[in-house]
Amino acid sequence: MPQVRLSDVHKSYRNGKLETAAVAGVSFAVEAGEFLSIAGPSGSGKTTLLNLIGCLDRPSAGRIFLEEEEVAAAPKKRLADIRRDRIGFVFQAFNLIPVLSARENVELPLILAGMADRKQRRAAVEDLLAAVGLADVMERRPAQLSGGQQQRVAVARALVKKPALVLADEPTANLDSKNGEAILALMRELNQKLRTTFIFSTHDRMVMDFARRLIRIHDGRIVGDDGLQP
Amino acid sequence: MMAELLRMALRNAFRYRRRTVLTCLAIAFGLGLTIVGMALFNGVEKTSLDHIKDSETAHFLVYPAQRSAGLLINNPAALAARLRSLPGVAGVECRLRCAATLINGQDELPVTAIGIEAENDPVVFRIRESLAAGKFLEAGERAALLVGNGLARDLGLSAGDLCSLRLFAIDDESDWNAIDLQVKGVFVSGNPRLDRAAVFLPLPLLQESLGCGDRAGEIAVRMQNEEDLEGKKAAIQRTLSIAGFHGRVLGFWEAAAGLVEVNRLRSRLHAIVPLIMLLVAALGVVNTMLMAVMERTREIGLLRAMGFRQREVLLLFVLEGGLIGFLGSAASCLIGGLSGWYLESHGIDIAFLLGREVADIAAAIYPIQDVFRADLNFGMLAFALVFGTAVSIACSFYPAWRAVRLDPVAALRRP
Repeated sequence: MPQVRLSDVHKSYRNGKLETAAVAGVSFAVEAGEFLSIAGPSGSGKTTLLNLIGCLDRPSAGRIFLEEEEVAAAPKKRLADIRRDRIGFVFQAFNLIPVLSARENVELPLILAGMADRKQRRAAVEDLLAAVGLADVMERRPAQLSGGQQQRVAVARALVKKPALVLADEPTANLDSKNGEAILALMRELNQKLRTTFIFSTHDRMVMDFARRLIRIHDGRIVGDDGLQP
Repeated sequence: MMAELLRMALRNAFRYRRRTVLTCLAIAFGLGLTIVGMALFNGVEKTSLDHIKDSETAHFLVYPAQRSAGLLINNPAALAARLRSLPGVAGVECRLRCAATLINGQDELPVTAIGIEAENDPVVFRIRESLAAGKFLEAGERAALLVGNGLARDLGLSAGDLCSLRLFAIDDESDWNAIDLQVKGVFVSGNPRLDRAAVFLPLPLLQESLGCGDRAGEIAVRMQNEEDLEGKKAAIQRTLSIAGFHGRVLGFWEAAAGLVEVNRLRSRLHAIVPLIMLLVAALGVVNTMLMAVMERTREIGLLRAMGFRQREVLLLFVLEGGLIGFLGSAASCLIGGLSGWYLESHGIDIAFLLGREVADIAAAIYPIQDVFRADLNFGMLAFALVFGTAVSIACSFYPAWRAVRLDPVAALRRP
């Protein structure tokens, strides 16, 4: 059973009389534990595709299944529950909550998921932050962290609730190559260790090289799907 | 989850410290002024009632009901004895009052001459306690009188001075007369109706001077406590009926009813100013929260992406607005509470603040001389705290609703 399945998915945006197709008839499936990159130039529809898979947006046409549950027409509340329970997000701009410390940022998804035991929650958060190399800075707020550290916090936040799927939208775009490589290595390590499915968008060659499967997209259409990389 | 939302709301509230502080200050001053206004009007009402009770009517004033039946009470001592035997009665005093002029040898001023029972008056009224100079009247004393400090000042009288009192007949059966008296004491009751235009003299002397025998004009009754005053009034009325006296019984609150009504009407009118300030503060909360939503659009998108439900985002912003309102209202309690406490202990001298003319006009309306005191109570502070917070919460709903309506994808795209 594929973890994610898209069937002839379309997404278009209307701006006045002008209709732009961001995604035009995309179909593919992702198995659990994959480390997949969606690559393409700016404006090719990568982010839209991630938003559709992440239940942040609904397709104009077509069907999307997450673990065989059709989500394309699900009500908003159900989509929020799916995001809360099954999906982790990593954004290009880190998007940490500035008023919360690194530890509190990572803890938030667990609170959202209803984990009531504070001790257990704290332990999970601290273990994960230690695993991403942030044990010493977990009480700092985002403004007191470097870009690389912030993205590590974001990765920890995406993974803390042990989601089936992590979606990362250009996760290294705001990082220098050293930090970018470190983040990708971390994501791949966690993918292998936790068997979490990673789907990330990029237009960076170095990032594509990290992926074990590469879907190339152009003008909202899939133009290439390279299977498992060595 | 609620605790986490509250923590985030609290931190968000202080994220833009200057804006939050300014909004809190607007609420604090609007509501603080409302508290001070309420405390002052409350104080005016309480002081007026106290002055009327302590210097004019006691708890109840018994007087003849109909002019046709005569203006005076026959055999008041017997009625007083019956009333004194009622349960809960602390004291009863027969009084007689008539129009008069007080003459110092050169000038004269119109006054109300009030004949009092020197032995009973201290139990029923507070004139003895308000003596500023000289001594109180004694039972059996003749040719002595007590003068209000305003009157004493106007006529240049002080304790020990001699003066004359020209008395006007009360009814057809009483006489006109003029008597020479010595000022025995000067009182400051705080009630300008007495301090500026009343003299007290022994009741037997006034009765004798007016030739009205042992008749009195009124009987004042002081109770031991103020519980169930309506019930006590009915008991007095029954006792009087049994005794064959069909007079009226007036409670001190009834004597002050018109004044209290005017005061409450004024307090409502005056409340408009602080309420307008509060409205401005409420708009400040709306503005602050709208700006917060605008500035944090991307963050709202993130929260939605993480799985925050719409009602949780709504709650987050409503809590933030509510916290700002709570802090502003708490500050208003501090401002209003401290100002109210100061005005309760020191009062505000309107003669000093607004001039003698205004103070005289105020004295004509309220039985209060110059110094208006506030009467602050916990209820006012609790009201300010609850009202300010509730208004802020209500004002936060619109910005919060806008936050909820944001499309997460569009919100995440914002720079």
